[in-house]
Amino acid sequence: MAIPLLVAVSYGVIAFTVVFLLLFAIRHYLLGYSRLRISRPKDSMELVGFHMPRVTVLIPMHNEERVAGDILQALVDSDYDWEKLEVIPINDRSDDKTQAIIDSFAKRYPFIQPLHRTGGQSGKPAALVEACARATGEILVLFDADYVPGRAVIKMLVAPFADPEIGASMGRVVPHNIGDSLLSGLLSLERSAGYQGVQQSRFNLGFTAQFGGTVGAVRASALESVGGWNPQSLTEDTDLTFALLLNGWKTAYVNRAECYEEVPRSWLVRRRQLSRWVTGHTECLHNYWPDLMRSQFLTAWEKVDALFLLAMYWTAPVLVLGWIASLLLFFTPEAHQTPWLPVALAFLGYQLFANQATFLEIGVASMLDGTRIRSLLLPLNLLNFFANTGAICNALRKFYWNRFWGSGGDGWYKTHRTRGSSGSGGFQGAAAGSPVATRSARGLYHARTQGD
Amino acid sequence: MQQKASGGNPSPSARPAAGERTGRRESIYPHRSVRALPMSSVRLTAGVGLALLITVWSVWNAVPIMETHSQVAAAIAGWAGLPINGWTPIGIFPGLEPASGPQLAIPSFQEVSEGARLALVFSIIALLLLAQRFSLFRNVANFLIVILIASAVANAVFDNFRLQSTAFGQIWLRQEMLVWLILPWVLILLFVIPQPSVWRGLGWVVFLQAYGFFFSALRMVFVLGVLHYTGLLFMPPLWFLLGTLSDLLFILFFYSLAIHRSSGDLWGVRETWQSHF
Repeated sequence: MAIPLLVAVSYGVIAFTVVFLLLFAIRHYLLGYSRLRISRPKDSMELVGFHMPRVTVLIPMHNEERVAGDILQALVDSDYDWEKLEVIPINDRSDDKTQAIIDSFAKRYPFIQPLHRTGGQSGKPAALVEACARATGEILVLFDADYVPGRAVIKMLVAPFADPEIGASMGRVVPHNIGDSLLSGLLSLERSAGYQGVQQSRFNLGFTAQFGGTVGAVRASALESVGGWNPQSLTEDTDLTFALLLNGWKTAYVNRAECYEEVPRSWLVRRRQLSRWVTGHTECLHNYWPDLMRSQFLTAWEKVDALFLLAMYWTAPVLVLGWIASLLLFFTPEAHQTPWLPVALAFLGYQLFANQATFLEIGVASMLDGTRIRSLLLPLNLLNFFANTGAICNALRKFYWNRFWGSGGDGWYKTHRTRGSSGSGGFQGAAAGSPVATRSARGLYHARTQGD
Repeated sequence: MQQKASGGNPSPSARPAAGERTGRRESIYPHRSVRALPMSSVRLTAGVGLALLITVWSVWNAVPIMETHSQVAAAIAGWAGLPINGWTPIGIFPGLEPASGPQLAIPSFQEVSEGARLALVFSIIALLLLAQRFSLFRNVANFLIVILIASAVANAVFDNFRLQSTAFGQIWLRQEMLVWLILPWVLILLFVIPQPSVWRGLGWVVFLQAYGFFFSALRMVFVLGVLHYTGLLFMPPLWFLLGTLSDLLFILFFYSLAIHRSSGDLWGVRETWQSHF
């Protein structure tokens, strides 16, 4: 009796796995093809420089002496009218030279208005809450301290706000340290697929783009209408995306607004980053899905897309459950007696069709970006896929354990970064000519608490 | 304190004087943010047509295809010195004529040599070391270790569990035949519809269909060899690694080559991005 039950349950689990993951795979194929075929992507470039409201740039910093000069110099070099620009570097209790660097820039450029935090809750969301109270801009633009925006990025991010329905905009994040390690090369392919592929495709199809918390802008009045930043969230960006969506605001994606970042070069750093994303994202799923289903602002397809987006990390444990069920069936001779043809066809079809879906997206992004050499790393992404699966399962296990027992979850992690160290492909562009920036670009490891 | 220059912010580069030669191109490629590769009915029709043709041909010739697979496997086994006693007819699909399956001695758990058991232990140790050294490989290694231990325990507990080589041949051919039926449809999704060159895409599909066939024969002989010398101890991890995961991997490998080629072609051909073809 026990064996037939085990076989039936295992087949049930496999059937559920196949159906659940096939739905996600079909979504990936649709998004990949959709991005590839659009001959005229939804684009706000024609409005660049036309819509120039007052802007406040917010840069949360904690011990950022190695990079603070780079981003401040890049903002000084920006082509946005200085009379309509305010830059607030938020120094969150740094104990290195961050404060001195910020103050030296503030002395030379009056539009730089530093905020030195010495108390209160730590972390990026809390820092943003305090800075927003002082901001005078109609539009708030966000950068993390290790990012280096190009001259026109602010204009590009602000352009979509000419549309009064737009509550936030999101630019494209491009890794600059792709040669640091195998992992950073693989992650650069993943980022390409995520921004060039999925974000642009979803925006073109009329779905809301995901606000990423950096290289993004938000309308101050929209932020206020949804109650501001959620200081309790580990992913305040995802939280804001859905808060805006539920209140009728749209998030625009600006593929041309490229900004360079540093992706993790070691698996330990990547795992911590992923763990925070999984926890924050799943928290948003639980907080927002009932309201999403009831929302009067969203079409049925937008609701489906939002659910897919929020539940994306669930694919990892479902996949692992499928593997465990397959293993049980392998060791159970009774299981081999069942009508196997439809099961085998479905499973093999899923294995070949569904597993290629994310790789198609990476391929599409590589072709559009013209990345030749990196595209050869594609098969090795399978290792990254297995590694991610384990890390996501672990993070979800912790999340549900803490949720069930009511214990506090993980806080903010330090995300280690390198810039300018040997072989790290340090960024030289915007910082050239600035003594502060040149020094800061030669650092070895530095630590961040704000996350990215 | 630095002040804003009149009429705009300070510019980092001066503009060339009128009429001055700058060496700039008259036109530039569209920026990557606005590129696209419009869907073409030619590629779609050609891809679907070829996939349909391969599928119908494979169903129609299922028995000769499986028989040829067995002959290729026999040749490889002979070349490798694997002592196969012969090939016997086995039913693969109901309603179809049987195909040949290998006859080879596969030892039970009790009959497995000490060397094979030692190989299992060394494999686990090697995987543990690999997991420690390469963090990105850790999850795969851990999964393989779990399967190896489960395999050893299952072999010890179900000591009467045996697998005949003909039964193994039957399972292998069933799975691979189904893969060959699905493969052309997966291949056109990756190599024909989203790629710029129709003929090259169709060439990839035909080549990979043939490659999948020969690669399957090679893997089958390898697994048979391991089964012959070590029994069922390594069967589950081999099934995991050399089953559909191998099919997935070889598709990915050639897909990356195709993308590499297409990315290069498209990067230098401006018209490609602008015309529907």
